[in-house]
Amino acid sequence: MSRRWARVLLATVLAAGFSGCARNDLELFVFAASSLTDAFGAVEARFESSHTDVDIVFNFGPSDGLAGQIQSEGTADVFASASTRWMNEVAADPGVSGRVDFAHNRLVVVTPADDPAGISDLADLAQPGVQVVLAAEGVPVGDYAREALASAGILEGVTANVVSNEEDAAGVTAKISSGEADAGIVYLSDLSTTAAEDLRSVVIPDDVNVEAIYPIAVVQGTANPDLAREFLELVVSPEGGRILEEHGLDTAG
Amino acid sequence: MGLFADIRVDRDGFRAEVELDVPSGSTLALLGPNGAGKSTVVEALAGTLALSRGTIRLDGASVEDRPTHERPVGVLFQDPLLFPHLSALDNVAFSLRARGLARRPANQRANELLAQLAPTVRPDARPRSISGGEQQRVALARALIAEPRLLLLDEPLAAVDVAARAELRSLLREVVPAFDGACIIVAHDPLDALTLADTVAILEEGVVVQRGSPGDIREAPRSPYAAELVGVNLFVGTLRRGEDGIGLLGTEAGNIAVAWPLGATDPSDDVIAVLRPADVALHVHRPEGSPRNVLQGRIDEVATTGGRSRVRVASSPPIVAEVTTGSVQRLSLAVGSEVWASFKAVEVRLELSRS
Amino acid sequence: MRDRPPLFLAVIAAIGVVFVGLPVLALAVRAPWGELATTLADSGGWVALRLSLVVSLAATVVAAVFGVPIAWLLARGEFPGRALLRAVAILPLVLPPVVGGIGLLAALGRGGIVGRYLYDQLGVQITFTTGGAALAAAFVSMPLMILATEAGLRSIDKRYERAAAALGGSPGYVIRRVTLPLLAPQLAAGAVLTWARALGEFGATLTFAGNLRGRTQTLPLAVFEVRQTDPGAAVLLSLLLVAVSIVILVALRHRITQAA
Repeated sequence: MSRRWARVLLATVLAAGFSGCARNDLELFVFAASSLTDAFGAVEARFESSHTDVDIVFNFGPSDGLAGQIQSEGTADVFASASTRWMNEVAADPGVSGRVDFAHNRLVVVTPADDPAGISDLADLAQPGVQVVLAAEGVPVGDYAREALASAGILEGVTANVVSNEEDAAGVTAKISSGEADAGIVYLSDLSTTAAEDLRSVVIPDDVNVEAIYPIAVVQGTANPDLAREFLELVVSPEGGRILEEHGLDTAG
Repeated sequence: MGLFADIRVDRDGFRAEVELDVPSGSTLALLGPNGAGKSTVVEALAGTLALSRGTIRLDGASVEDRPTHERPVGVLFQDPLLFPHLSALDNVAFSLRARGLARRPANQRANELLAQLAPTVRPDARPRSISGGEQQRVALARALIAEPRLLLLDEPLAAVDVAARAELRSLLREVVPAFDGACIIVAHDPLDALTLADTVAILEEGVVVQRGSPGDIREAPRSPYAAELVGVNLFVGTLRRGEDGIGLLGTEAGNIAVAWPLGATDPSDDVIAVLRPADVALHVHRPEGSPRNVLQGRIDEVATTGGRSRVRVASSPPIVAEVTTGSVQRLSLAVGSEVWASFKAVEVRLELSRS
Repeated sequence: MRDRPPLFLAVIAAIGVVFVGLPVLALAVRAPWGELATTLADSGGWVALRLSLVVSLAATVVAAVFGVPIAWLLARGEFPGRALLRAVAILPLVLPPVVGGIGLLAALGRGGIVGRYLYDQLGVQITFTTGGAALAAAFVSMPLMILATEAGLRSIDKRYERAAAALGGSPGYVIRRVTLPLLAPQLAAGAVLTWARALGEFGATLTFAGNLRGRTQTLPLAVFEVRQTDPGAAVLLSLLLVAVSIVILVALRHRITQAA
């Protein structure tokens, strides 16, 4: 009796699982930096409403990891990186086309709502005893943060205060909002997410702040170059720009 | 027709070497003390133990090279070993289904056999819900259903409770004689074997030391085990002529006086002497009188069955006396008491060796 | 008069339960229950849940298909190198899952030592597919299946199999009709453990199969992604996973506790 049950269950599961493989919808694979999760989610809705037979499959992650995946496993039709460094990597291998910088982002310092360490400007991060969280080197927002700190001449001092290197910006905001650390550096666009609702922010002056450039391109070897290009065009269009700005990204210039 | 086996089996430093000849329709009882090798022989016949040398022929066909599942053998173990996940019916039908018979005819035959041998058991009952005695009945049906040529009963009553044992024994007494193949029953309790068997083989330390009908064994046991089996005193030793024509049997544990047998040489080796316990008298003081054998010792054991008591005395040699329970009480005999045991030389029955 | 466990055991057990239950309790307390409906609708939690169930079940099947024969060899086989086989079979349990994922990439990725033939000759790519996610989950959970099955095989009374042979059962018949049914309770318990481990798998899946929504983004991966933007949703989805696990484990509780 239970053997029959098991067979039925198994058949249902396998049918359900492999039905996903039935390619009735055309699939477009977009590999994008984590910081674009909200923004591109909205772009997806817009794109699919005008392309009803297309299903966009996202892969959000740290740009360095995504670049590595594209190089070893391919699969991506479109790549949107949070830094030029990783787009350069993919451009070298396997190659890209239609590359364009579509958004900018800036950095900001965040602290817990009650500001336990009394952070009022960037330089305070180097004060002895302050616990700082940054994203790891190689992760765009981590590289950008270190760039900014170097410009401000306090990289060494702050590095001594770093208590954790996170995998992505979300890791940094999580540590700050739970009060595990005193201060961190994330993207300006992160402030508009629910994750940052309880955070206090401190502006980084423009002269030391880094401008994060987001390039997007069609990946060489894609099975759907035309569709990929259409997605690209939506992202850089005025409409796309509006959506991006709604999510804290800057499309000017 | 029947079983012919001439085998040597080695297992963990133990060697059993036997020759057995059991005609179809007859039953051989394999008896012996613990560790004699009875299970070893059974496993070799069943095929679960490999032979070091020899042959096993069933109805003329050699089977020693065949794996267990290809031998036409049925086995009943001490533990019924009914498959716990199958019903009684499926257990009985197992042998037929395993050989490829379809479900319906197999179940039909199984139902018949079940009704015949285990009428109180419901066919859909699980083994854990029936008693030990009922389980053995089902196991018997299971072993018989494929009509094996050799039936092995390996201490089938040992694990059954006393009440069910009598019942099961009478079932075996019906079924076994009616079985048309060869049957070997291994038993520790001789009563099981002696009542079912046509011939008896006594196994000690891997070899058959005595073979014959139950009556033969009873008349002339040739080993301490056999004697124990039939409840007599047995002495083995060298016979020498003593003074005034008496015979003296020198055993390891001591001497006894016997009447000199006709035609015996002086000395004679390997002489077996049998003395019935009822012929031994017990005294609290050293007795005077004609009995030539007077042994002294402490009482080791008193076993009473109704009006009779068997008293084991640690004399040299040790001896068992059978007296009335009244005498035991009258003389205040108990374990540890010092007694004298006496018996007449003529009461000892001698058996000279055959060499 | 029931046999009551001694008090000190109960105390230690209580501490253990608190230790394990507290994080889940904390999640439940912190969860923004008011946003439950919107969260479930928006974040694709249902898609991830369905995928999780499919992947974990497929992984369990794969683990059983390969794990049972391996366990058989370990329990019953007599050959040199058995200790080595056991070490290899248990290896995924010891490896950090991400390391396992990296290994799977090196073996079965498009550039992997075996994967490259699959891709070049047959055009087959395993990474970034649901099958790949199932494979990754099977990789990490198979040792549990092997351990449970091996223990089960060792605990079966071999006399049943001998009796079955004496009744005319060929070795194959005996395995099918006697050994496996007797093994069934342990197999089921092993399968439940395997499934539970596969359900919660994260590191190997992320590294090997990637984070594609609807294809490889199981619920644990979805939680990881949504915490970027909405930690409250992450908590709710986590609790969804916990709830599903509890429901299924409770439904199968007899399987887990059944002895031979």
